[in-house]
Amino acid sequence: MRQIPPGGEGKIKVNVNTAGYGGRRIREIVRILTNDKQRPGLRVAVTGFVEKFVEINPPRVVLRGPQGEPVASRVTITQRMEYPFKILNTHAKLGRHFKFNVQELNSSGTSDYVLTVENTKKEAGRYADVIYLKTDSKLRPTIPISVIGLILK
Amino acid sequence: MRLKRLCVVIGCLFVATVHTVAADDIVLKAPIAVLPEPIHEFEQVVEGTVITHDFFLQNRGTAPLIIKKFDTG
Repeated sequence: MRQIPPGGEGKIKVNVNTAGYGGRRIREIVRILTNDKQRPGLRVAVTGFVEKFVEINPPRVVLRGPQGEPVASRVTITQRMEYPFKILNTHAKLGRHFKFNVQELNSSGTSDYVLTVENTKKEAGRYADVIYLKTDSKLRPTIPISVIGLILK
Repeated sequence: MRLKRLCVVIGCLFVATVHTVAADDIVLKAPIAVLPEPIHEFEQVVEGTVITHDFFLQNRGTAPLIIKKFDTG
């Protein structure tokens, strides 16, 4: 518990990590509870627009299909001219129910990528995982892409 | 009987006096929390940027301002 003496001033440092919030306006709120009986709950807000670093389409992988049949998905990762990067390596958080690879495509001086994900789960069921793309960018050293599996009977 | 009634009156006055002093004390010694700039609007940034901002919380009251808790979201 911290306290500010009468007539004093305290500093509240707020850090907002904008990773994953590209293409939208954010508003992060911190609520401060104090012993001021007139205003026990105060709020501070950090707000503004976050520009996209990369276009990922679709933004998440959904592997949905019947068991025993091939279920795969392709994700295109398109760089923006202002923020070039290279994918250095990839790994999955769990990596139990699918295999994947990333291919680099050269077009008009920039490198785009295609991520292909294929289900390997034989039985029906669901799973959730994340593929991490490690980049050479200081802005986004890691790009996470969610993978949802829905294998039906 | 009359003496007994007087005692009761004095007792009430005493209680009333003590109560008034206590109330004044609470009013005089209270913290007042003031946030001069509660909103920070940042310039457009690219995704992945970490925004850091310092907010200043002032105590314009006469008792210590205690920060009990922070909540985010």
